Amino acid sequence: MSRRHILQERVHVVAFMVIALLAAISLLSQRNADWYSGDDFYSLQVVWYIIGGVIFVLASLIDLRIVERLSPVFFAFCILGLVLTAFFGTEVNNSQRWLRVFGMNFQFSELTKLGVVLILARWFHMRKERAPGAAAIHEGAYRIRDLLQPIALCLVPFLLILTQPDLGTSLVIVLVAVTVTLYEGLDRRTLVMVALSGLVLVPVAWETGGIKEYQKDRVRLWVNPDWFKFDADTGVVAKGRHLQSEQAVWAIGSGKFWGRGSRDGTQSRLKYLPEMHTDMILATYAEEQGFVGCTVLLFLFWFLVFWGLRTAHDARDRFCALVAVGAIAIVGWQVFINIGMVAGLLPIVGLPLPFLSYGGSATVMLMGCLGLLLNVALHRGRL
Amino acid sequence: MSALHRSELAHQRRRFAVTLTLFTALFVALEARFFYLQILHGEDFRERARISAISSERIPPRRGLIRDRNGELLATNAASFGVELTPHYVSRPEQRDVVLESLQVLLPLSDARRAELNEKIEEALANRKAWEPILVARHLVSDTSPEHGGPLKPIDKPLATLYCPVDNVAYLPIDAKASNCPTDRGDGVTTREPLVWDDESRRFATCERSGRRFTTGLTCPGGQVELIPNLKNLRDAKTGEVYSNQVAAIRARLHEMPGVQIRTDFRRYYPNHYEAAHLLGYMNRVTADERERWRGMYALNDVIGRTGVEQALEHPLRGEAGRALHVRDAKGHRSESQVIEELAGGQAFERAVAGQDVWLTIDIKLQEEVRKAFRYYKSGAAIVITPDTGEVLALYSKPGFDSNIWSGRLTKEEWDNTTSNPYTPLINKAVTPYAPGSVYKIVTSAAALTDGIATPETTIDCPGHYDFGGRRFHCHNRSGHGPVNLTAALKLSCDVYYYRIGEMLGMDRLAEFGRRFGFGQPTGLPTRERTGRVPTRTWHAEHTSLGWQPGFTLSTSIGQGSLTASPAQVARSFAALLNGGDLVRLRIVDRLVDEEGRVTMNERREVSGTLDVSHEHMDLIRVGLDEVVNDPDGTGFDLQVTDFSMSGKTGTAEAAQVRAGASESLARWLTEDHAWFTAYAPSHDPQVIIVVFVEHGGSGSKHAGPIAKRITLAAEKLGYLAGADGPEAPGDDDDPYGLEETR
Repeated sequence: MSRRHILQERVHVVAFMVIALLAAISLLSQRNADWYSGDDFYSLQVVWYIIGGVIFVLASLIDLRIVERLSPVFFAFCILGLVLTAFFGTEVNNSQRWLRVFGMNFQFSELTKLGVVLILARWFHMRKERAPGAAAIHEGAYRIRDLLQPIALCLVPFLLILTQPDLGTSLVIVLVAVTVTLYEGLDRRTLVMVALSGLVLVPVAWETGGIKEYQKDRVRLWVNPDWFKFDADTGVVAKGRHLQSEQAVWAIGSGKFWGRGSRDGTQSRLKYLPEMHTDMILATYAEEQGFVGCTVLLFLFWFLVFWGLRTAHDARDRFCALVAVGAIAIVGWQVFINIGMVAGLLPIVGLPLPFLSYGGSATVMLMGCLGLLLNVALHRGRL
Repeated sequence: MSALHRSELAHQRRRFAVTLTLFTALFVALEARFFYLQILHGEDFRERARISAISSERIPPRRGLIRDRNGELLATNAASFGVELTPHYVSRPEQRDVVLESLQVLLPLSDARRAELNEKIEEALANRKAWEPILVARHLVSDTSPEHGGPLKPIDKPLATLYCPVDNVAYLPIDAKASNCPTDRGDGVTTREPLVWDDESRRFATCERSGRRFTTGLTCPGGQVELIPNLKNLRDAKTGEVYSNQVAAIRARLHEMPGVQIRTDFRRYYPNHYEAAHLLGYMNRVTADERERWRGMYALNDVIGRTGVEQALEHPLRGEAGRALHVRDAKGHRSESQVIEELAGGQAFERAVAGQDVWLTIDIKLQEEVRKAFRYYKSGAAIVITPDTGEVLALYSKPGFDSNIWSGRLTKEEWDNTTSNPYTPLINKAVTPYAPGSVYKIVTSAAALTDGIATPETTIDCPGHYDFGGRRFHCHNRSGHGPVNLTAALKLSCDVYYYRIGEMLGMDRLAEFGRRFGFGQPTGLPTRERTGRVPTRTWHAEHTSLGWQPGFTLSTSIGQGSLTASPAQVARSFAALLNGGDLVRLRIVDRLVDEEGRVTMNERREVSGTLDVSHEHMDLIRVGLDEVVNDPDGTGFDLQVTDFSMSGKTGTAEAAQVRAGASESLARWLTEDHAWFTAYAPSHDPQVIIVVFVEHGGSGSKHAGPIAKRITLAAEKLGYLAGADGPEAPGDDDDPYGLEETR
């Protein structure tokens, strides 16, 4: 028992080291990207990691029961932030994602990811603990009509973010919510029905304008890399996006096995990679560090996911388990979508890569998630 | 532990496994993608990234210069300017408007051209060609004329013009009260020519002589569009045309026009314009076929030599293009050299190899004298050669064309004028065969002497005609020359003498000697030439409608009939006679010199055959030729010179033609004979041979002779008659490559 116990403790130490290592990779990548572009994102990112570190420690120490109790407040705070953003937000690149508070720009959609996780975890927890006859709902047997409440809860932030518009983040929110729900368990028939309705909904959304034209263009480009569009009004060719993804793919491929080496990425140096510090940072990283670096990075992320799911498995109660699953789902899905998009597997949607991409709100939120995860891990089994 | 709790544990384990499997599968997919991109196709993508970042710029080679024997430049390279616009920088319509607006004012551009450019830019943007520059205008005016490349002079008081982009006309401002045309100088002085006003409103007027348009207002006809002021500050001294310095104007405002750049190329410039047009040829745009044939040698807008030396020596003159690699970043800026070397593998620059300079045997001063000698004649040709080495000192054909215009902005009008000119300016008549007439009699003489048909003593009585085969052949002197021997026959150009010996020689023997003298064969000049015809019995049998007739021999023996020869061939036949029997190859190119001044090719005397005529016989013919000019009875006695001795042979060839649709004067010209004269001097030791051919010029002695005499005098003045041991042969000093040694 004790040996196993030590091993388990060791996992958490390793996980902590992995987090530190990823943060280090992040800072290194920012520094290199700065070198190419002549900006200074590195210093700011250091600041975000310091703030993130404080949040991480706080989140790992706080009593999770308080967290559970405050979940609705936090969720409401997120929604308020999103509503305010919708009215008073700053518009960048045709998208209203930022709210200026005390001279700083906040991206409430980042925080909302965590908010959704917390509110869902609390809802399922309450349901299990307080439902009259907990046995009435068997494990893995939620039906749609049982879930109307959480669906409604998630729909609010989802729509608010979708209309910013920020397809990537709203997609992550859906995926995280679905992951948490599936983890909790669905009735088999319901599962089939949900899958089917998804298949129906996508074409409907495509046809009715639920998916915006520029988003469609990205999908078209993804399906056919040679596709391009000429806008007669503005004379602009909608191939910038295309080139962006193509250049990123070339950059990744250019890395080959060992990579070109730090600060020797020619694609990056010639600035063929837009959004080099944020969404596209993986292209720069992959060009510099090659297949080896990418594999290491993927393994580190995978280890985090493994650790998160293990933590969930060993969690002391429902709330803790679902917070752990939700937190790690945020990381896992963002990693998959971001890398998939940069590497040309998925259409281009704006979404940062956890750790590596520059971003204050995202970094702080990420560290908060991981802090909670560690919190759950450290207090596993203890009530 | 309850059953429920146990099932819950199992459930817990299962969802852990399922979720982990899901994420692991997703990550494996990503890893597989990395493997695909970086391991399987890494090299490919690295190459693609490299290619997309690198643009290769072709560095055109400098074309070789063409010089005459004294180093005088006959063809050189002048800078030519164009404006290009890279669509990428004007992808937004408002940017485009600003840039096109500026160009419209500066160049200026017509509205139609502007719309066309706008369309081209949009098309390029739509077709992913945003980085390929579009040519806005070529042959811009800088300080040289865009028409012929000659220098332009600044005007003290610039002429303000008003350009209307709608009708593409530059108007000159004028006072509404004006009634006479102003001068071009813009000094307010008027000429006597009346100004023609368009209508009563007195807004627009025309000056009929110059075709210049004037306006009193500031708007285009119609009153809608404003006129664009344009200052003309350069004048072409040759044509009087005024220009504005477009290159300077654009250069000054380049910073306001993103994407606009000035492109500099070379264009060919011939300082002498008309002087040696046939000899030098001209240049124009390479065709798609030619680019296909010489794959990789020519770029899209390259020029290639047409006719003359430019064509014959296209390859050495051309040189080899170089290459410069540029790495462009995403914004189109050139990147630092380090990246270039990394991406290009060290081969960032490959220098162009300049074309070789060609030194000709021509003396442009003599060439100029030849042109002046032809002043009173419409059409003809002359060639001056040295008999021993076959060097061509002058080669002239009239009428000519301006090589600069044909190499540059050739207008349809100019093309039509040149190609429809009845005197065929594009044909190099010095290498085009015509009936040679009596200058051919040296061939008949040599044949008769060699075959023993005639001896120096043989005399034939000339009654003025010769009856043969039921037909009467006339002598040019209808009253007859009386008894003549060979030298007298040459001196008097007695046809009857040659009818007789020609008949005895027979057609084929005569043809055989014709070929020995180089007729019917190329002279070796590098320019395209037509070889003419030496008819034989077989030829006549095949090509004449009535078949072979014995009378043809008689015509041929006096250089008529179906026989044709070019002035160059005639010159070469005389050279063979005068240099002791060697049929030398005519040459116009002396040597090729590469960039570093090394001689890469040095043409030497080449002999393609011998006459096989004994020296006594050749000397006898020379006595006859001497008497042509120096005996009071000679046909060319009027041409005798005093300071040195000159000999020669006249020729008057019947060449009456009828051309459909010819004007009266043209028809009259066509009925005239071809006039020939071949001169050489000094008689005892000939240093130059001059062949003059005047197309439909009439009598050889009256029309071709004086031209030849004038050229001979000019050659004497230039020192060409001094001979090998003479005091000052020009070219000696400038010609250290053994020309004189070969003599």
